[in-house]
Amino acid sequence: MFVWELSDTSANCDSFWIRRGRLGSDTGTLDQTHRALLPSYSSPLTQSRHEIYSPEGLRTDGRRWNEIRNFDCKINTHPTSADGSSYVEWGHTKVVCTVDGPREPDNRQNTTDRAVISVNVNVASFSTETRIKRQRNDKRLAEMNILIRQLLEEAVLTKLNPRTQIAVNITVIAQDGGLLPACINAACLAMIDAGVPLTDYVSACSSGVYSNNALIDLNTLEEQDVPFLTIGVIGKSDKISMLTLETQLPMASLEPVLATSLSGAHAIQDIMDAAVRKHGKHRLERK
Amino acid sequence: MISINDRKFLTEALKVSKRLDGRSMEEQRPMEVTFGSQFGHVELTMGKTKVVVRISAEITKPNERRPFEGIFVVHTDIGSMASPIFENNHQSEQEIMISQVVEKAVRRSGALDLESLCIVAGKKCWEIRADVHYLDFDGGLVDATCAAVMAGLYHFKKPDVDVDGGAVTVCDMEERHPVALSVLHLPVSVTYGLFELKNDETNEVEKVECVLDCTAIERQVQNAEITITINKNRDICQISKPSGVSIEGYRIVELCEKAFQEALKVTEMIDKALKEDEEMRNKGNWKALLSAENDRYEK
Amino acid sequence: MSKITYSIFGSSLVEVYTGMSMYKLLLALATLQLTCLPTCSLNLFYHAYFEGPSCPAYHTIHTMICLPGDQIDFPKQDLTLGPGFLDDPLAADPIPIVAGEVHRTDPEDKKTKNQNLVYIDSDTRRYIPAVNDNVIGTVTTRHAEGYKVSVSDLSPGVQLNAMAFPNASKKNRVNLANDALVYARVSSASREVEAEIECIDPQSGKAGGYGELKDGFCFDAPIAFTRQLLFKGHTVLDTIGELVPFEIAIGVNGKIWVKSEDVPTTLKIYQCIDKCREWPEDQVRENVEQIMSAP
Repeated sequence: MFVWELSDTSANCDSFWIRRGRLGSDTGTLDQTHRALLPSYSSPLTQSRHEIYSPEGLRTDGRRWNEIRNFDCKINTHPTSADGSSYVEWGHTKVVCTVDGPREPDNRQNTTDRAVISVNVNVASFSTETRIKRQRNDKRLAEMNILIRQLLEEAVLTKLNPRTQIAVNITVIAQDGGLLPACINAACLAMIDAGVPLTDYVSACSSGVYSNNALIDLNTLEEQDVPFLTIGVIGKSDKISMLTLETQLPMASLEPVLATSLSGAHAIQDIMDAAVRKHGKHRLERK
Repeated sequence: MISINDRKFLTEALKVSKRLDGRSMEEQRPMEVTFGSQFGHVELTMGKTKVVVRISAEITKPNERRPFEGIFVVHTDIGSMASPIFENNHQSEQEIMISQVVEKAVRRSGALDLESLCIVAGKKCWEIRADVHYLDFDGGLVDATCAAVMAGLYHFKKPDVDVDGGAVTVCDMEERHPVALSVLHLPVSVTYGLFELKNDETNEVEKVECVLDCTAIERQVQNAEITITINKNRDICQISKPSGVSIEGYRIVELCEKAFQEALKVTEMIDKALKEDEEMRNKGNWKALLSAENDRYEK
Repeated sequence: MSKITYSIFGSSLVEVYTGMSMYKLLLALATLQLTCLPTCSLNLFYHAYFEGPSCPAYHTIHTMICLPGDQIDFPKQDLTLGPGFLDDPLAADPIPIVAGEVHRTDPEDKKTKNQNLVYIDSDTRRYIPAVNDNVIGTVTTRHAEGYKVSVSDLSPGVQLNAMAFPNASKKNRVNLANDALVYARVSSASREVEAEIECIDPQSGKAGGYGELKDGFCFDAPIAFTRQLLFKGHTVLDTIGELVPFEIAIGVNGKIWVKSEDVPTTLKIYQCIDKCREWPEDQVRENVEQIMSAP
């Protein structure tokens, strides 16, 4: 399991912005296991009847508050059927993404000066614990499409290819929390594989708070019980491009949760970068 | 569609902190709430934006997975009446985002206590339905909708019911006073428009300005939007920032603080309007006459 | 002095389209010269007032308000029908098809006794192109032969030929960006074909005030109000002109463009013109002064 550490900060939520050090992540090979160096912090609040965050600092799946789930990604998984493709496995959430474009647009109306990005997320009915047949006009999925599309439009240099369309198709095979971030990360990798001009990596991460403790990268169980938010960032900047919060969060906890998810997104970028370079090296060697 | 002249003019004006209608950057258009004669009928105007909300109640079977809770649905269909940019019966992207934000703010935040809507567990419950009609569009739809729906929920009274075993009798509104809904908190939505102000010569971004409550013309020029829903207990119910220009995390926290101040004002405004309506309905002080309470003795 | 009422219409009847009377022209120029730089005043004149053929202004009397289907008692024989009337050859009387005020030329007035014009003045929000109108349009797309311009939101676009500029040739073409503003004159507006506009004065062959409008701010106004501003004038414009120099272009498609020395002043001018419809006549001057002097 690949883990990373937040140095010099405490699990309790005080002024994260000032004390956040460099969010180092060991960019070793993915099959090594690194133990997180637990920063010295005062023990978290002990009133937890739920397993969400035990007094020892362990979550339902045995992670610490600052450990993201195992993020495995492969690019160029569909070399013949799509211009760019990627497969992301984040914990138990599995997402496949293909990118086609720039190609002839479906609708010529609004493409005069830039490329149009269209995003379509298909959630398989077997992706959740119980089989749910997807409704036709699901607004939640439509909203997800819009959010992913707008985030990609920030990073993709659409003005280089006017009068074209870049179609992104995302298929969700299994979901266990963190669906939106997984889709965004997969879309970014597929774009890179397709050779679509990008300014920087696009990554996303979710994080929540449970009785004053920020928790990074939530799974389904945690998402149901704990208020959480998802952010999308472009590059390793401190600026947040996309932010969605759908559950009630006390205002005092907002800052640490934002900081945590920001660090998570940066760490994901390192992992994605490593995977892309590995693939590149592999291609070069094959020649 | 906005011309380059207007776009340039509006951004130049923002650089010197001036807006088209003379408001300051942090000033929201004043909201005016009027209640109709029927319970749950609210008309809210915010500048030129006009919204009408009707709350209605019906008895249905509860959801199988949640037998102890009632149902609360919010319908927001923006039609051509609001503005010719919206089409009837067609969900444009803007409409989807607006209806999703409103749903998260009002429904998912748990403003209405669903368990109080249960009549007979597993068999009968109240379905409260909020229908929002948009009469005029000039930006700020989410803010107006949220405030109007919450005002409607506070104003609405459902008929009293008698439960006898499995049989439910709905009492007439004339015979028994209708019962108010159990509203847990008042989420208030506040929308900021984000404008990237660039230096003319170098085309570098000087700063990103956050402007509260943009009108329709300002919305055409804005680079991004952030909607924060917060209640007076400092609980953030919802934040939605679809991408556009990026801002730092600490600025978002600052905006939440400012949004909290706005939320206090709106909560106060709605409370005041509800009180006035209550007084108007209570003319002749019939409530005191019909009440069975006696004065307490002070010993 | 009797009050001169102008009811001028940019209509399909070219003969009765009027410019300003010489008196009004001189008065206007005189007022503007007070605070304007010399070049500015010339611009004002060209933008704001159509330099049309010097038709004499006619006096009209406003007879009544009518609705579609009302009975109008003027027999049709000698009458020239203006906009708002249906010219049914079989009907004896003119048939009104819009709601508004009926204006007819004054039979007493010596100058226009023989003209016999009748038309309906109605206030609409959507502009329908008519020949000889001065309009402000926004360029939507550019194609090989010219530009497609929008004069009214969500209405079909009108054509602006690339050659319809002064001194235009195949090699020397004007370059308009998308979403640029142009002040133009409607040159053809038939029912079957797309309307066409041109940025050239037909009489002189020069720009005559038409062409691209740079900077400034363009806003919407009701169409009857823009007609009033353009042909009759309004105290608000005179008052503003006394206080600050400014440029204005009035399009009868319901758009007004203003430009002044800096952004805050332009903003104040916009607020004056936007609100002046609500003010009673005698309060216009002091309200304008109040707005313009505010920080």
